[in-house]
Amino acid sequence: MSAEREAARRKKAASEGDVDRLSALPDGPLQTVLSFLPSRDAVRTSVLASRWRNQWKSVPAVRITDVRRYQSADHLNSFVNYFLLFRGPLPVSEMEISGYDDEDTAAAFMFMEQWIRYGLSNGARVLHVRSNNINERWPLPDGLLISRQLVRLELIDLHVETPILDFSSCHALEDLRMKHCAIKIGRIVSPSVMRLCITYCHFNSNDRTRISFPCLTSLILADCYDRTPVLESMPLLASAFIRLQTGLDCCGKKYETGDCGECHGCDGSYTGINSCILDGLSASKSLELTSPQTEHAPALEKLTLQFPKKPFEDIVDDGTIYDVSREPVALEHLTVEVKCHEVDEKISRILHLLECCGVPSTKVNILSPPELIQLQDTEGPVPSTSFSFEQKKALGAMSLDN
Amino acid sequence: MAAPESGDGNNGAARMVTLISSDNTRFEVEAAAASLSQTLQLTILDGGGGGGDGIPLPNVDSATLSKVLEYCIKHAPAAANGGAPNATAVDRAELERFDNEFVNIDQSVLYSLIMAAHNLEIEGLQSLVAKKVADMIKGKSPMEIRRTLGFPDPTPEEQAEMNAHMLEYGWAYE
Repeated sequence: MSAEREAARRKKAASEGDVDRLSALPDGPLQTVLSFLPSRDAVRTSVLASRWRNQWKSVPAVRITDVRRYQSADHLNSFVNYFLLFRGPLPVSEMEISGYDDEDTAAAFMFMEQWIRYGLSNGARVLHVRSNNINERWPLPDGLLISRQLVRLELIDLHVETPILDFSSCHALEDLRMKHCAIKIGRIVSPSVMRLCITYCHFNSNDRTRISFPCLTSLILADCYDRTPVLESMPLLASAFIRLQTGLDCCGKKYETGDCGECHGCDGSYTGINSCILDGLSASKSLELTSPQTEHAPALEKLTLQFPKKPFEDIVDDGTIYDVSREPVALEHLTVEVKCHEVDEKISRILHLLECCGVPSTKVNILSPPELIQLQDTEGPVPSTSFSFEQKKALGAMSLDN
Repeated sequence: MAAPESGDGNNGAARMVTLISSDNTRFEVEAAAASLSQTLQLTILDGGGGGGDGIPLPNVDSATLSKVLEYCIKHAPAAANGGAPNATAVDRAELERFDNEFVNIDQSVLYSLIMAAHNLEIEGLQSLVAKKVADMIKGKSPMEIRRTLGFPDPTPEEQAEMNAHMLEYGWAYE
């Protein structure tokens, strides 16, 4: 193409107004665009034109997410190490790190810790870490997650084993999400986290993990395996979604409303706090829920019990009686929705139990068939036995009408 | 674009503000929707934009502003809910569907939207549109990106410069 024709073509295209308008954007918006790209794609835009040459360095995001496009763990490691070296100590706002799915887990996980240290020391406010390895979960090093800037943390597929996972030094941390993790932790502590979401995780099979999040306003705990955790007092809790999938909320003696305090895994010293998950939420202190949005302190208003078609022996054990006097729950404002396929003997027993607790049958609404609650997740809803707690948003009259 | 109807009497009429585009078109919109813009929020809190006054937006033309407001009106209820932590799956799915459709537009409109969202500081819209443009770049070779984004073909000098640059950044092109 001759230079003249090229110039004419450019002029024509420019007059149409759609040529390279991206390059014409100011740095701010251009950086925003680049910040959504996997880091290697962001670097590769530097070849487009001189305007783009050094833009990638100041993009405030590090995203190592397109790992399948690398040939090996070494290939990925080599890129990321070069990338961080050339990028230098420029601020990072968001960091997303995924390991390489390689049989050689030593190579796949070799630099994970260093990369995370780089992100945190350069001010990352949002951090996502994923093992992404079919053979093994990356073991999170003790004491790695210390940062004054970190606001949001997501851990996927990690192995977290420590007596205490303590986020006390992460003053700004508000959001914690753990998914598909092995949680072999005695106690998780954070004085600042407001939103906690634990899904598809494996807890200890015998001991309960204690969850100590006094500022929590929103909780999702769903579809986890093994012993359900102990929830300590959460006086600000405004909404919670709990789904017991294959998790056991009864101890070795099938003491279904919590720990018996005697057998292995049950901790008798916490009977004052109540140690079963349902009690953790409905212990009177937690029931007097205060919501920061409203001056009228609403109590727990609605309880949904949802049952699967198949039998659910684990949930309603033979002959166990819920002792209201021993484990009091304040339910005077509660309305209940029971979602089941048919009201059989077991459902009847639950209705009877509710009545014993002070919930008259007029406040119980039986619905069918059960509506499945979809979690924020790509996987579809799983039919299960579930407990769902909702809190009324405003002043509206208490009613069963929907 | 038609301004949304004011509140239909449930909670009393919602407060309306008027925005004026660079080509002098007036848009009446609920204050809550316009307040998604950090730039406008303070003015509106101070009582601006009401009555016959209107807030002039000299950097945004009417076609772009109408699109911006379409986004704000749709997202205002969720934003009022504090990022909607309690939103149902249905609400979220509906917003997601709206967002996907919303950015299914010509590149030139996308760039106008990026600038408007940047000037008006509407965080959600900035991310939404930037993400869409990023998706057009993701996983493509430099030549494919140039074609997708409507760059003119490189001159021989530019091509030579590109080649030299790719050599220098070998670690990113292996």
